[in-house]
This record gives sequence, C-alpha cells and structure tokens, in this order.
Amino acid sequence: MSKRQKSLAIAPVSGGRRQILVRNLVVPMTIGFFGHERDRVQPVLVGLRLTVEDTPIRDGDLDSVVNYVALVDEIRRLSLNKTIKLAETLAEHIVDICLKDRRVLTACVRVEKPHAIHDVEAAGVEVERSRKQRTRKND
Amino acid sequence: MSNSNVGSLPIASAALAIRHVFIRNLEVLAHIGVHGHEQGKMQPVRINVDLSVEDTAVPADKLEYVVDYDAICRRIRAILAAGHINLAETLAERIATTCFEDARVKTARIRVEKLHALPGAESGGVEIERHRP
Repeated sequence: MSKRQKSLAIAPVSGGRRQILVRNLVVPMTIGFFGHERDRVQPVLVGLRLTVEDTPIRDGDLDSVVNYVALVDEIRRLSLNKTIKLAETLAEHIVDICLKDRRVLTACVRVEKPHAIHDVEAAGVEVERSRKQRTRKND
Repeated sequence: MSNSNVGSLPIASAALAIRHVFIRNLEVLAHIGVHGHEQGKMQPVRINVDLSVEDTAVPADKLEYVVDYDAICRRIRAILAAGHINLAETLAERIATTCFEDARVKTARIRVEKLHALPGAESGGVEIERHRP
C-alpha cells in the first residue's frame, strides 16, 4: 500500500450502514477571533457525513430515518450562540447534535469559513467522531 | 473559480485520531517560473493546503489549541514575497516545510497551480504529500 493510500480514511458504506449527507449548508453566524469578526455575521458552510445503522425504513415515516432537516434546525439554533470563536468548537457542538440520535454511529463534520482570509476561497476544519469514542470520553 | 474541492476523499478520521485542517484556493500573484517571459513579472497561482493534524482535545475556545490556518496563510505569503521561485515543485516543498512548523501537523498535501501556465487549460501544476520528517 502506498503512503498516499494509507493517509486516507474512507468510511465503507457496507455492513449494514448507510451515510446521511448534508453538503454546504450555509449558516450565517457570528464566529471568529479577530475584532472585525466579532461584530458581524459571516456565512459558515457546514457539511455532514453521518454513518448510521441501516435500520428498516418505513416509507412516509420520518421517525424511521435520521432526519437531516431536524439536525439542520438544531444547527441553525446553535448558530445564534454568538460566543463561539473556533471553527473546531463549532464542529464539536455540531457533532454533539448529531450523536444525540442514537442511530448515528459516526459523525464527520466539516466547518468552512468562506472568505475568512483575503484571497482564499475557504478555510476550515473537518473532524470525525464515533459514538464509541464519545462514550469512552464520558465514562 | 475552480470547483475543485480540498481532498475529495475524507482525511478526518476518528479511528486514526486525525483532524483535517484545510485552506482551499488561495489565489495570489507570484514571481514564479523558469521561462524568460516569466521573469520580472507576477502571475496568478492557486494554492491548496490539506493537513492531517493530531486530533488532540480542544479544551477551550482558544486559538492556541488548534492549528492556525490564518498563520499558515501568512507564512505562505512570506515565502512568495521572499523572491522569485523557479519551480512550482519548489514552492510546494517550501509550503509543506512551513506547515510542519506546527508540531501537531503530521501530513501535508500541497497543490500549487499556475493559472496562466498552459493556454487552453485552467491550470498546470503539481501536488505533493509530505509526512513529518
């Protein structure tokens, strides 16, 4: 195996799992360290890749699936918190929201700040947290 | 604007305790190139940085606990301001080296594209991946 392959972690969508995706959710909020960021709202792009148990679905019953609309509502409520400075902190809060649904096994959360830096399209961070890991931490 | 995403494959990993910090499409003017027509003037380059970073705890909402992408951008600008560079490869290596100044960075994948290098193409360039020495 080459070094490049080794450095990549590709979550398999097999073995009774599926992935729930939210791509480039635009969340306007106050976030950041610098003075010019504290008194204004800027767009943050949020991406979710949730590995969930492949439980049986009942067509027409949203409770039978992990409902990304509800997750997005919670993320939007979270965005009203104006005290968050780090993209990393926001990502961890979003992980917490996702893992509240017991069917979510792993949450990969990306937070991007477009135009946070002059001449840069976006900069940000992506973290992946597993339920196992969180459970251990809380023990 | 290029639609190319930072690493279409995921880097962040719970199992490997890796966080992914990225800078997408830093577009700046640079003194770069070996050809005569590239000397003495600037041309646009596009830089992408993907870092795999030790996923250590962030105990407080403070910059010191994370790899600062803004600081890395400033160091990239300093590399470009330091003088003419012949090869995109050289620039990529220098950027990788500066990323490792933060001890938490384990792997750096750097892409350098020259936007005016190839008529009829969006860009020509190079991508490297370096592990902490």
